[in-house]
Amino acid sequence: MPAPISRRKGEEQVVSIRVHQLTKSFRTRSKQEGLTGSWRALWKPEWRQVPAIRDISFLMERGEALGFIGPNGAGKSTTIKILCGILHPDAGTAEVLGHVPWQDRQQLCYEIGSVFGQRPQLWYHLPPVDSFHVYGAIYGLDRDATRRRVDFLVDVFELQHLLHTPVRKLSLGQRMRCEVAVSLLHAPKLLLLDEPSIGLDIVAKQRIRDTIRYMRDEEGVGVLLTSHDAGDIEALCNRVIVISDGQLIFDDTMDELKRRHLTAKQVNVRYLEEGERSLPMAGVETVAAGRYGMQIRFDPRTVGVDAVISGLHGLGSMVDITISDPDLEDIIGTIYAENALDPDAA
Amino acid sequence: MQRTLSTRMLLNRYGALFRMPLVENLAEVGNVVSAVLVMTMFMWVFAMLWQAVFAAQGTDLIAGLTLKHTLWYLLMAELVVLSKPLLAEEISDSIKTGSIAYDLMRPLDFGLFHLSRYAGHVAFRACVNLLAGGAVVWLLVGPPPAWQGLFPAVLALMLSWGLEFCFEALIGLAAFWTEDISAFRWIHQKISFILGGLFLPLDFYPPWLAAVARVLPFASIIYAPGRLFVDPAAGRLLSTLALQLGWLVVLGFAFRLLSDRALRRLTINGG
Repeated sequence: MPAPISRRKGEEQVVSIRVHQLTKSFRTRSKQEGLTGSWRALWKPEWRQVPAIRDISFLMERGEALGFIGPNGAGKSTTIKILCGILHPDAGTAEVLGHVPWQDRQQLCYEIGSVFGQRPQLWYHLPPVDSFHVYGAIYGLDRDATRRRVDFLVDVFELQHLLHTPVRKLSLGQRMRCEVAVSLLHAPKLLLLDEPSIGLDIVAKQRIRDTIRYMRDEEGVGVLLTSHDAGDIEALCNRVIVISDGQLIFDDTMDELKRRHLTAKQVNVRYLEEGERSLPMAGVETVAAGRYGMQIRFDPRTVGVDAVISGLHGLGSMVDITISDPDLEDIIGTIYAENALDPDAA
Repeated sequence: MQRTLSTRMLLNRYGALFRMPLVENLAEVGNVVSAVLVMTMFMWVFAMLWQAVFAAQGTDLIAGLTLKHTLWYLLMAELVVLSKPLLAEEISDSIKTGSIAYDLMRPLDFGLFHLSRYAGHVAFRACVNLLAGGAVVWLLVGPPPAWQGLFPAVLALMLSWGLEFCFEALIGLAAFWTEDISAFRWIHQKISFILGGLFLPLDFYPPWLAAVARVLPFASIIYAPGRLFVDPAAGRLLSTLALQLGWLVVLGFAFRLLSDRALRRLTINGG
């Protein structure tokens, strides 16, 4: 269990989110199967407490980009909802930009921006420029201030050609760029992004990531990102939190995540001449083999990289060789698997 | 950092939300055309029906109302019903999909947010419907019986949409407790139509029923503006507006109470 977080002097300026032993469960009705079960549930409803998150603690610094990952139902959105102030926790404390979110939601609104991939905030039948101006008024910006801010965002997000087209006629990628831009209209200090790249193609994803990174560097906006796409996390976040089954199972830098869980290297090799080859070395696994090449995997902690390379070299004259780390996706899969096997691992 | 907004900023905020449905309606000309068609057709059917009724009765006056009175009354009654957006559905959908949680992440008051959008929609649709329906009635039975009824009718219309807003919002919020609100909507709609006097003025009802219906909120919504429009006597004006205001206080209070409870429930139990 993470150690309690104590407040240090001067920390207010640098901490944007402080969460301590946050716990939340939901009450749901449970019903036995069939007609008898339904009948019984009608007269004597049985309630069950389903834990959503348990004892979650972490700190996020101002301007930091934090990735929040976990499988469906792990408690990601429950945590985010508590941090936005739209859910009360059962126990524990949280502070976002100096506010207790569920007591101070209205004030907090001005300081955070949010994009929920599944929940558009732009008016569907109108061009984005209309939505920009309404949100400007909602956040208390005057006309000139809104215009200046819109001009700036239009430049950064390259929205010049989209601004006057009805949202329904924009592609998903274009729409998402507008969504992220509108969430930054009131110059929030913290941006919450929930699955911002869902359904986007690779080019659109890259573009969104670039602009978010630019805004993070330019305005020091903190980013809390949840995503199923490991690429988003890798491109944007320096720190990552993994939650599974309502519990925090990993909280460290991206590099540490890789160092601790990157236990395998993958090698693809192509030879000049056709032939049947294999590398009979302890600790080396052949993933695939073809007439001209092969793919192997090994653990660099037990087998030396140079030994493997010279072994491969001995099999023929090579035309191409690549050594790569597994995808973040695979690493996360391993973490989940480890924790599923050992429930006390957290 | 405590942020306080000036009145001007608040007006600006809810004014922008009020304008949005106007802009949306103008961008969607198809919706306007269909609204015009519905209103024109309804008023034409009503005119044919009531011309036949008055002819069959062989009289110019039924319960103190002429054919002209009746049709201008019905125009106002239809105006109330056909100009409002589907607020109950909108709220209940946002509860069912959980998107209401995200609405709460804006610095907006839940009631005023919906009210300003509702008012914007009503303002646009009412103008279109009044022009379309008014033209049909004018062509068939001539100008309104009393022009001085226009201003009192507009006042009463605003109060009646305020009441309808409360009813619809209450029904929408019921989705927090029951999955399906269609039963509430159905009951509210049918009671409103009958006890509100949508198809015929309450004056044509048996006296005991008319007396009961007149004091209920449904009449304050549908019957009041139209009746005031065709007969804006000072006594009627005062009693109508007082009754509407009274119901508005009651329903507005009920709305506040229920929305506070619902939002508290949301923040405790989740969407």
